[in-house]
Amino acid sequence: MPHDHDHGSTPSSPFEELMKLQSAFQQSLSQATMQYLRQLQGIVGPVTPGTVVQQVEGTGVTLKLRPGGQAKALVNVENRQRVHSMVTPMITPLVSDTGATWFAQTAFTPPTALLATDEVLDFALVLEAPKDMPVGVYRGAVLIYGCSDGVVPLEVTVAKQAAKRKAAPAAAKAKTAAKKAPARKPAARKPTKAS
Amino acid sequence: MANSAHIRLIDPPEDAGRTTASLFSSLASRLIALHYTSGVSVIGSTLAGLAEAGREISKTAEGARIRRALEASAVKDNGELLWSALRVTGWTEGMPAAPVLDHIRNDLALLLADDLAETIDNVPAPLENKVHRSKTVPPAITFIDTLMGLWIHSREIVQSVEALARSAPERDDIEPGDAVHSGPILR
Repeated sequence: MPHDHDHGSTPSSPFEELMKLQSAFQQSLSQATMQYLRQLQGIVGPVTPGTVVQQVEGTGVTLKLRPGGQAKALVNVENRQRVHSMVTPMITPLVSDTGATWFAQTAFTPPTALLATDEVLDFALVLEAPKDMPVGVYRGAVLIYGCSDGVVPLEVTVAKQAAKRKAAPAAAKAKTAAKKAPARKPAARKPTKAS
Repeated sequence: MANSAHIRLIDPPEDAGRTTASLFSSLASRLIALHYTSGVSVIGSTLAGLAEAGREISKTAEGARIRRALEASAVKDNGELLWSALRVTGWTEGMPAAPVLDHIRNDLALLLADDLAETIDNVPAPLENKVHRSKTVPPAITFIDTLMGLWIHSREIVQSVEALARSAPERDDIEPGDAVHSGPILR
């Protein structure tokens, strides 16, 4: 029989131990039963109709910009459901091939809209790259928040401005000039009509 | 690839679709279900729904930025401490997630339906309950997930009400009133 001399507690009888065990068991049983009932409730419940996004044209959106620069895109959304739909376009974080993640600052215009049945609306996306943005190709998606099963792939290439062209050597200039001015061919004579 | 995309919003292939009748039936079913559901189940299901919405919005760039800021602050630690002390994760375990954002959007669409009166007259009973597709055990509800869900849920409500107001006919900011007639007092 366990006896804790330090705390001066009275030794517990087997009956008390049994009662403690029984109480703990009943508490666990009631908790498990409630959890089971709640899960059961979740299996069968009212239907909540939703919305799915279907990409109609193209394979996605591709943009190019330089660090500190800006790029624009257009997302055309058509509501083919029979009731109004709330549309809030957003983008996911963009991940580069090197594993860098870009939590891009974006602005959609309008940021959100209520589309009636068969209504079509353009959402203009403006994407801005920070000045110290590492170059690379970043990939993510454009999505309509709240709609399941449908995203538009988004690919953003961040590259520094191309270097300015150096002066072409003389030979190359001559070659270029020759290409631009091809030899003149004699004009073909149109047959004259017989009087 | 180009710098534009064209997308359509359509009904899920296996569902009845969003119509005035289905949305009305869904709302009626939700209200009827309250009569045989305990309060703790309703609250728990709502919390689970908010947490799921929070997890989803955290996958967007904007949501992820906000979440990162919250996680880097004392909000996350204090929230989790409260959550743990009050055993919220424990009593919400296994609660089915209510689709809180779909509820807002569907109720909003009902408010704008042209055929609502006829639908109410013609729809005799709520849609039959549907057996949900089996999902994996729902993840434990965390404080930060629920906080993110509260944010997007509130924003959705704000945007929805503002959109409703914008769809109404424009009114002047100044409303004319009756002319003041001078009387024995006003001279």
